Amino acid sequence: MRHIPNEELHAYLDQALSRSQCIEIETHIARCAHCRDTRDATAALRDRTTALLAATAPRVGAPPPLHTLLARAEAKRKTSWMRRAILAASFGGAILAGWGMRAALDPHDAVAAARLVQADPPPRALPIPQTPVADRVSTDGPRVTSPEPEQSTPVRLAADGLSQPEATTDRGAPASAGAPAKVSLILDEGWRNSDPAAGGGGVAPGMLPTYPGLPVTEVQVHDAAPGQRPLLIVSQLHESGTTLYTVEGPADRVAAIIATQLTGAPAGFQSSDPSRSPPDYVETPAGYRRTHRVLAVLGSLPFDTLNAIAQRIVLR
Amino acid sequence: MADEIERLYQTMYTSVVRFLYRKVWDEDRAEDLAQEVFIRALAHRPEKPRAWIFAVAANLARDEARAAVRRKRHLTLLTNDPVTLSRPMASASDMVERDEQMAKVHGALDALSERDRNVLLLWDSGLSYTEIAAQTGLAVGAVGTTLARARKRLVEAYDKQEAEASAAHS
Repeated sequence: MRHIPNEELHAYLDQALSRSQCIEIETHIARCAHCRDTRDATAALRDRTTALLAATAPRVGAPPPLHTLLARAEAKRKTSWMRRAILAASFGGAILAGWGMRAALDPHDAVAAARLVQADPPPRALPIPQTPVADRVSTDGPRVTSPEPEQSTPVRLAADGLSQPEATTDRGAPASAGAPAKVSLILDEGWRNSDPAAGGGGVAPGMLPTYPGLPVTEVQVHDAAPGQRPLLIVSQLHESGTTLYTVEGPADRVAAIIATQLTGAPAGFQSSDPSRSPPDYVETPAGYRRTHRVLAVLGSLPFDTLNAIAQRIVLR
Repeated sequence: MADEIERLYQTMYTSVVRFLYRKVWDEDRAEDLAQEVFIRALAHRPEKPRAWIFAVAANLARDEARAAVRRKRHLTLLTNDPVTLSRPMASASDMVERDEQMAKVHGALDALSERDRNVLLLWDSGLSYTEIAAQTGLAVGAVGTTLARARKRLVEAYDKQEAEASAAHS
C-alpha cells in the first residue's frame, strides 16, 4: 500500500489541496493506521511551529490612520522631487560654470564665452564671471563679481496669526542675493508661542530640540495628552540668514506638519529626513506604551545640509 | 484600488509587522517598514496587492538587514530592546522566561536556510501556497515540501537550544 507523502499531509492540514485530493487522503487515512499516526504527528508539529512563532509575535498596536501615511508619502515625494531638481540644477550650473571658466582662461574662446554668458545667465547659486571680456582675458585671471543684493520677501502667511520669527532680516543686515526667501510656517489652532528663555512653555530647556550654537528665536508648543511630551517647533537663526525649524513629536504628527509646510512652499524650502528622537511612554490600561517620536529640520538649505543638521540636534 | 489597499491596510497591517519583526527583530523598525510598505502600495497600486505587499516587505527587510550589518546596528538593537519596558505589569520571572523563549525561537529561525525561513514566515503571515509559490519562485507542489522541512528543522533547532540551556543550568 502506498502511504501518503509527508509534504502532502502538510498541504492537507494547511487546506492547500483540492476537495478531491482531500477526499482521497481522508479515505486512505480511514483504513491506514500508519498514515493516521503520521497525520497526527504532522498536526502536532504544525501546531508546535505555530505556537513557537506566536511566542515571537510583537505587540502591534492599531495601525496609524491611513491619511497620516498619505501625508508622509506626499512629504517624501516632495523631498525627493526637490532633491532631484537641486541635483539637476547643480549639475547644469557646474557644466555652465566649467564652460565659462574654460573659455575665460582661453583667450581664443573669450568672445564666444561672453556671448554665452550674456545669452544664458547661469543660476544664482553658482554665479560665473560676468565681467567684460577684456577683464577676463587679463593676466589676473577671471574675477567673480558679487550679485546685486536682493530683498527677501515673505511668501507665506501664518494662518492663525501667530507671530513668526524674523528670519532673514532681523540682524539689521539686508538679505543678500542668493539668500533664501523668508518662509513662515502654516500652523493650525492649538499652537502657542512660548518664550525660549522661559523654558519653552513648560518644557525644560534641555528638552528643546536645538542645534548647538544657534540662537533660538521662537518656540511653538502644541500640548499633547496629559503626561505626554508636547509637540514642539523650535526656530533657530542659521548663520546663512535662513530660519531653521526643528519639528519634534509623534511620527504621524510630524509627518503631517512637514507635508503641510512643503505644500506650496517656495523652491529650496525643504525638510530633512525624519529621524528618531528619544521615545516617550504613555500610560494606557494595558500598561506603558512607547510612542514613536521623530524630529525633522525644515529650512531653505540643501537637503544634505538639513540632514546633517538634524543629526546634530541635541535633545535629552 | 485605493479602497482595496485601505482594506488590506486594516486587515494585513498586523501580519506584515509580524512578518517584518521576525526579520529585523525590532518592534519599532518593523512598524516603520510596514508603514513604508503600505505607502509604496498606495503609490504603485499593484494588481495583486497581497503578494506584492509581502514581496516588498521581504525586500525592505533584506535591505534593512544589510544596512544593519554595515552599521553594526544589531548591537544597538539588542541593548535597546523595548520589550522590558512595554509590559510593566508582567512579573520579572515571566519576562525573563519570555525573553529566553524568544531568543531560542530567534536562534532557531536563524538556523533555517533563507528559503525555508521565508516560506515559513510567509505561511505564518497567512499567505496561501499559491501566493507563497508566486513570491518565492517555487512550484506550488514544492511549497509543501519546503514547509514540512522548515517546520521540522525549526522544532529541532529549538529543542537543541533547550537541551543546551538545560545542560548549562544543571
